[in-house]
Amino acid sequence: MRTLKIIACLFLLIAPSAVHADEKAKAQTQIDAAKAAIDAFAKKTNENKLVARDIEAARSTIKRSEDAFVNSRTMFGLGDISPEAANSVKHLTDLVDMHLTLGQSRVDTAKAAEELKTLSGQVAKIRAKVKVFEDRKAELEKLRAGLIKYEAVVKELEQVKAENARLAGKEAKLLDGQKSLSIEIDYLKAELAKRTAALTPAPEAAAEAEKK
Amino acid sequence: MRHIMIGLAALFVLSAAAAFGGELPRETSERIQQADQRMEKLSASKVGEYAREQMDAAKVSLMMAQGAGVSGNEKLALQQIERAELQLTVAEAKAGEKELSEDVALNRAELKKLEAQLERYMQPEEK
Repeated sequence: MRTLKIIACLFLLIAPSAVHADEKAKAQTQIDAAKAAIDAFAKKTNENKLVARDIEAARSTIKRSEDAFVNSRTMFGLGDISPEAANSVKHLTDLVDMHLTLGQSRVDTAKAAEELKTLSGQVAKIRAKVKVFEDRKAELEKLRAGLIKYEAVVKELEQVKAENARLAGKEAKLLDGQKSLSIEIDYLKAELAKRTAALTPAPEAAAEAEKK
Repeated sequence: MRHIMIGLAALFVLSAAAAFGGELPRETSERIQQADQRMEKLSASKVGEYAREQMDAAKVSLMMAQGAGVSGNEKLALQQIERAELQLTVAEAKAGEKELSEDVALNRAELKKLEAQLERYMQPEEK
C-alpha cells in the first residue's frame, strides 16, 4: 500500500512535466527545424546580397526564439516550458519561415525579372525580323497589284490596237470607195460638160440663126 | 461543491480579464492602425488580387491583434501585429513575383507566336 502511494505521488509529480515535456520537445524541434531552414536557405542562395536582409532578420528572430525558450526553462533547464513560451517559440519560428519565404520570393522575382529581360530582347529581335518580312510582303502585294493593273492596261492596249487596225482597214476601204467615187464624179462631170457643149450652138452659128 | 468550483473559475476568469483589460500603449495602437491602413491600401491594389491567400492570413492576424488590443493583451497584440506586418510584406513580394511571372508567360507566348510567324515567312512560298 505504501509503495502504491509512493508511485501515485511520483506519477502526480511527473505527469504535468510529461505533458509539458512534449511542448518542450516540440518547441526545440521547431527551433532546430527553423535553424536548419535558415542554414539551407543561406547555402542555397550562396549569401546572395538580395536576401542578406531576410537571412539576417531570420537569424535575429531565431535568436529571440531561442532566448524565449531558454528563459522559460525552469529547474536548471530540466523543467518544462510554459505554454506562453511555447506560443512565443511557435510564433517566432513562424516568422522565420515568413522571412525565408520573403527571401525566396525576392530570389524568384529577380530570376523572373532576368528572364523577362532576356525574353523581351528576343521578342524585340524576332519582331524586327518579322517586320522585315512583313514589309517585303507588303511591297510584294503592292507590286502584284501593280502587275495586275499593268496586265489590264496591256490587255486594254491590245484591244485598242485591234480596234485601231479594224478602223484603219475600214478607213482604207472608205478611202478607196471615195477615190472611185471621185473618179466617177470627175468622169461624169467631163461627160456632162461634153454633152452640154454638144447641145450648146457655137456663137457664129447662133448669130447666123438670128439673121435668118 | 460543484457551484463553488464554477464560482471560483468565474472569479479567476474575471480577475484575469481585469488584469489584461488595460489600455494599450499609444505606440502599439498606432502600429495596429498603420497596419490596418496598409492592409486597406494593398487590398485595393493588385496585391489584393495576386496574393489573396497572404492577404487573408494578414487580415486574420490583424483582427487578432485588434482583438488582443481591445482586451488589453499587449503581448499578444504585439505578436499578432508583427505577424501581420510581415505577412503584408510577404503578400507584396508574392504579388510582385506573380505579376512578373505573368509578364514572363505573356512574353514567352509572344515569342512563340513570332517564331512561328518567322518560320512561315522563311519557308518557300507555294505556287
